[in-house]
Amino acid sequence: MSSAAATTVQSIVEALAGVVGSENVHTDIETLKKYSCDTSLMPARMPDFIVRVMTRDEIMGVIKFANANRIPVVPRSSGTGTYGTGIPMEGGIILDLSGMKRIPRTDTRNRWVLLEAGVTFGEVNEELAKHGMQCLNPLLPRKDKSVITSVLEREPVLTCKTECDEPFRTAELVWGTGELMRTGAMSVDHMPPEDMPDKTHSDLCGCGGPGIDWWRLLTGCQGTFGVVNIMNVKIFHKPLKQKIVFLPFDRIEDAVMPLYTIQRREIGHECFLLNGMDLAAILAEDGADIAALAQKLPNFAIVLNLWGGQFFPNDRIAYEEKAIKDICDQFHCSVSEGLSAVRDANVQLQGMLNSPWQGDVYWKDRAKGACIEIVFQNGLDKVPALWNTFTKLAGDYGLDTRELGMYIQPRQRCRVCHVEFHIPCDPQGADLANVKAFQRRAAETLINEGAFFYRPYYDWADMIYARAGYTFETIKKLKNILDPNHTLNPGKILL
Amino acid sequence: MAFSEIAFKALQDVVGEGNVTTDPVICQSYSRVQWTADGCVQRSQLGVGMRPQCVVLPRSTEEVQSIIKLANRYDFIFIPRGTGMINSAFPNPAQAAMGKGVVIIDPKHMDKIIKIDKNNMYMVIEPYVNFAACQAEAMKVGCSVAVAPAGAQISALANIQWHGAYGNSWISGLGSNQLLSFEVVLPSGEILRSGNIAQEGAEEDWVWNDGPGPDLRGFFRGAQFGHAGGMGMVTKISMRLFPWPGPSVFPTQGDGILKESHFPKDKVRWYMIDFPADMQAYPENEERQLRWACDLQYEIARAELAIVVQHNAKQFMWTWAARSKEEFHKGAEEDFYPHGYTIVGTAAITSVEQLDYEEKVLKSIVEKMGGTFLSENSPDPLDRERYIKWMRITNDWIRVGHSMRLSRPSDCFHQGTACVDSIDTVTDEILRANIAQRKMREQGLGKDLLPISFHGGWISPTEKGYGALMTTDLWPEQEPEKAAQAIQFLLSSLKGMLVDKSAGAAVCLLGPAYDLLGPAFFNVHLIVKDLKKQFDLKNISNPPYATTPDVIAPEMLAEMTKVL
Ligand SMILES: Cc1cc2nc3c(=O)[nH]c(=O)nc-3n(C[C@H](O)[C@H](O)[C@H](O)COP(=O)(O)OP(=O)(O)OC[C@H]3O[C@@H](n4cnc5c(N)ncnc54)[C@H](O)[C@@H]3O)c2cc1C
Ligand SMILES: Cc1cc2nc3c(=O)[nH]c(=O)nc-3n(C[C@H](O)[C@H](O)[C@H](O)COP(=O)(O)OP(=O)(O)OC[C@H]3O[C@@H](n4cnc5c(N)ncnc54)[C@H](O)[C@@H]3O)c2cc1C
Repeated sequence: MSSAAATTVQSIVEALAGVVGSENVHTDIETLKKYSCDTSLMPARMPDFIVRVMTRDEIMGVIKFANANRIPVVPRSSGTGTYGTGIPMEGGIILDLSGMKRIPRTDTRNRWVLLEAGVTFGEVNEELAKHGMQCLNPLLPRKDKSVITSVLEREPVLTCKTECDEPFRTAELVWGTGELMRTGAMSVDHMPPEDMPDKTHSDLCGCGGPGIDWWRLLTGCQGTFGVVNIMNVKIFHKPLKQKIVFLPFDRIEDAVMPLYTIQRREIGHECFLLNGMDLAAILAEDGADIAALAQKLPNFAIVLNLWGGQFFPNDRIAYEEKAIKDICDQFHCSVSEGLSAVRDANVQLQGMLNSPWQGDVYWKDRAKGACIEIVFQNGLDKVPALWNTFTKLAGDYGLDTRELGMYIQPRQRCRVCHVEFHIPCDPQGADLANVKAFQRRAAETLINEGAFFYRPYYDWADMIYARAGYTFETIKKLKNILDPNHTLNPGKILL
Repeated sequence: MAFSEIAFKALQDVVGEGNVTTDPVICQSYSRVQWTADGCVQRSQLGVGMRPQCVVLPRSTEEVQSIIKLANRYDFIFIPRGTGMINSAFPNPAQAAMGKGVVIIDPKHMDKIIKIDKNNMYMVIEPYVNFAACQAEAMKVGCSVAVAPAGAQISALANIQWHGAYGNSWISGLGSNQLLSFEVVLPSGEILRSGNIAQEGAEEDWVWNDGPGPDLRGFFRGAQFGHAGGMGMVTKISMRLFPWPGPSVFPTQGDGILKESHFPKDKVRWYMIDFPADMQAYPENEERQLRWACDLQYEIARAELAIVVQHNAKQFMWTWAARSKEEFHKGAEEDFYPHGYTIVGTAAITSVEQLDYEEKVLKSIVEKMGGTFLSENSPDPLDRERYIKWMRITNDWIRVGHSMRLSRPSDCFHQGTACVDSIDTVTDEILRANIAQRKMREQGLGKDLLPISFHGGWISPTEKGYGALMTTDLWPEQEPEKAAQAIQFLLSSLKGMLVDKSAGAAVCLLGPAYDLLGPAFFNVHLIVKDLKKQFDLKNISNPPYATTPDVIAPEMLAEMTKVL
């Protein structure tokens, strides 16, 4: 690679081909177009180069070259983006890590799996099944969804147990300058991380350090600080027995105390709440049946997986069931093992707890072809009022409120809830501009009512950071230190 | 050195005359001496040079902000303080050498629990709220907090923003895990907020930590240490609460050192677990014992039970269980606890049936592994006594430990080594430290440390066994040479960890250790130095923490890390 500045497309392609091989550099319009958008319905923007990388050294090579030549680099690990976070704002290189598929080590004693950026939930669960282990899954991720980006984006997992809330253990990454870094217990050497438990006194369990908690700083930055190529994440032992139960509710308000109490009493593993529409989108046999099915399902339902674990599973499930019945008596609600409108709903959902969405059309998109969202995080007690605001506003915009979806994911035994409001829409429909206007307006209204928008997705960064005072100045200073040339994903989170 | 008159005047203007002083007598009481080994060495080096020039007592975030802005204007050093237990990890003549005035910011007036949210399980506190208050208030609403053996008396905020090793780390994790939203006045005087409170409109809600966008807990905290006052002053935090089955008031009986505490058995149960018969001899079987304790902890992790799980080495058993100095020394001589034990506590978080279930599982695991439970009915009368003495104080792992017990043996105390990683790795480090230190002792070094110093090993698994922390502890007496030996032991452990590529080395970067270790750790010191430069333009926030702005020259580094 020459040291002279590369400014022509040809010279850049040559330089990149020198790092990754010409077969992994793409500039044809069809490929570029594919990477210019995602499912967020955010405006597409074109990249100039797609570079597929397979190794850490290739990542370093590409970023060093790009940094020296002030060319943007946008990392992408999943096949499909969801929130506009991987759409290039200022052209440049899309660094496609989705081909990095190694799962070089599983540690059942310390309960982690080491995987590369392109490994999906389906792939890792297949590997873990061989060891009797299970990955901490989010709710029905896309088939091509990278585990590492899910963790980096702090996507909540279905298991509400406090110790499972942050699956991140240690990682290797490349800063925007092209320099290498490792976090936590992985930082004690440069050797391949899969060799470390045998050759060093590090089991890759300590996540902090070196010095400060880089692992946390890297989350939620949408690839603007560094590019992670390999990481180990927490996993858990597959239970010998488990059992899903449902608690149906007419009004969301009535679900609040039962859900708090179930979690406060630490009952079960996976637990979440869906409204009828989202339940139908997941359980309907045919996409066309969703609306009708939603009407037959409870308005809201807590889905709870009672967990027998590895020792005397029947005993464990028995005491959990007894506790659930007490709670139902206390709050005058009911618990059942099934849903009358769907055969074997519990069995179906059981299988979904540790698998990606299997259908060709993603579940959120099944009703109308696409789905845009509102995503925030608050204490559960705040959520009913925010839902009411949201649905009322939807009515004002002429939307059919029965079509709106809701997913509440309690975290850390319901210390907080990750909340998604879903707006199914037709991506080609005449109404799309109205739906998008509604989404923006709803976001603004909810933020003004105290919804905490912890992830600046879509076009929300301006709205969020305008309300964030010196916090944003701090983030900018950090960016200038970690990626002084603003090489990585420029324009995202306003950086 | 006299403190700048105009700076003093300005501080008076901010906090009022009654809340700032340069009186040498008052200031002397704030000098950074504790009964820790480094405090002892520092005192011998600096004498009254350890006395700050001024102490100021703000009442609010706004006043802290003004104080820090004045520090920038008049160029004095400020040290944020909790309760002043431990201000540094290395001897630190650096501050004295800078020739600037030093002001301690004492948060005594910022002592409020601002909010307890029992449903969303968090508590908002100011800097001078101690752990005892947090735990007492939490229990009233059916919750509990992480419990630092450092003591009931320390500032929970200071602890959580800077360190945090807990008696119930099995469920709570480390200090960095307790930190939810936080508010900090940065060294420039700007206010940084992280979590919900960062977002205008959501600021009443202190429930969450990360975002918007990057998780700034990563900027402010490390696994073992935060910035140790080197990145401004934290003025409020929200901390995690955990479910607690009751009782809502801690049961105690007796007075003073005779105080005991016992929970009703339908709420909390304790187990004291002994090794199999064929590995009793200690220290001959130390490694076998510790590996057995690891296997047991991994099994309990697989079973996902309990609220407290730990292995307490012989040294920890007896420093805790002895009620007085006299009793301690007598028992140590008689080898009252001949080796370590595994301690497990379970709680009826779900129901009483849960307690029965967990007991059944625990018994089946221990039985299968050949271990035994001590009890009031143990066949060996000595075992009965060992059990009864431990049960008098075992609740302190939940209540909030009392670090004074740790200082009792010699009136001085120092860490022998520390590590954060897996249960297995931290155990490697205990063995390394104990074996190396015993060998050094045979060669004459550390001969003045109390003998119990050589039988360390607190295996404290975190997050239900996903990780672990360990420490070993040393007891020199309060004399500089003896204290220096303890520090040398720690440094030699550190060197061993570096050479052997132990995870323990990754979590001890702080102060001069950044320069010592940074080059072996992806040059991380250079990034942290950049942070210090960008956020603390004048290098006035408790230097040399978290690190110095510039790389330290080798001779200077040798000077800074010289033990005595
Ligand atoms: C509320 C919510 C619900 C969600 N629900 C679902 C769901 O049900 N199903 C689903 O599939 N997804 C879901 N996600 C999406 C998911 O969290 C994000 O899509 C994902 O985390 C980011 O991956 P991506 O596929 O969108 O984009 P990617 O392009 O893979 O990456 C996202 C961002 O990370 C950066 N990045 C990519 N790779 C790296 C790397 N190796 N190192 C550093 N940075 C990198 C990118 O530049 C980009 O900014 C949800 C997210 C949220 C917030
Ligand atoms: C015998 C002994 C046992 C110990 N055991 C434990 C233990 O089990 N677990 C544990 O976690 N620790 C332990 N420690 C370490 C330490 O004492 C504690 O971590 C404790 O938090 C100190 O609390 P403090 O209120 O005295 O803080 P201080 O000593 O006053 O402060 C600690 C550090 O934080 C900085 N600081 C204080 N307040 C602020 C603020 N508001 N903003 C910014 N920086 C601030 C200070 O400048 C200082 O560097 C132990 C120490 C000793 C000597």
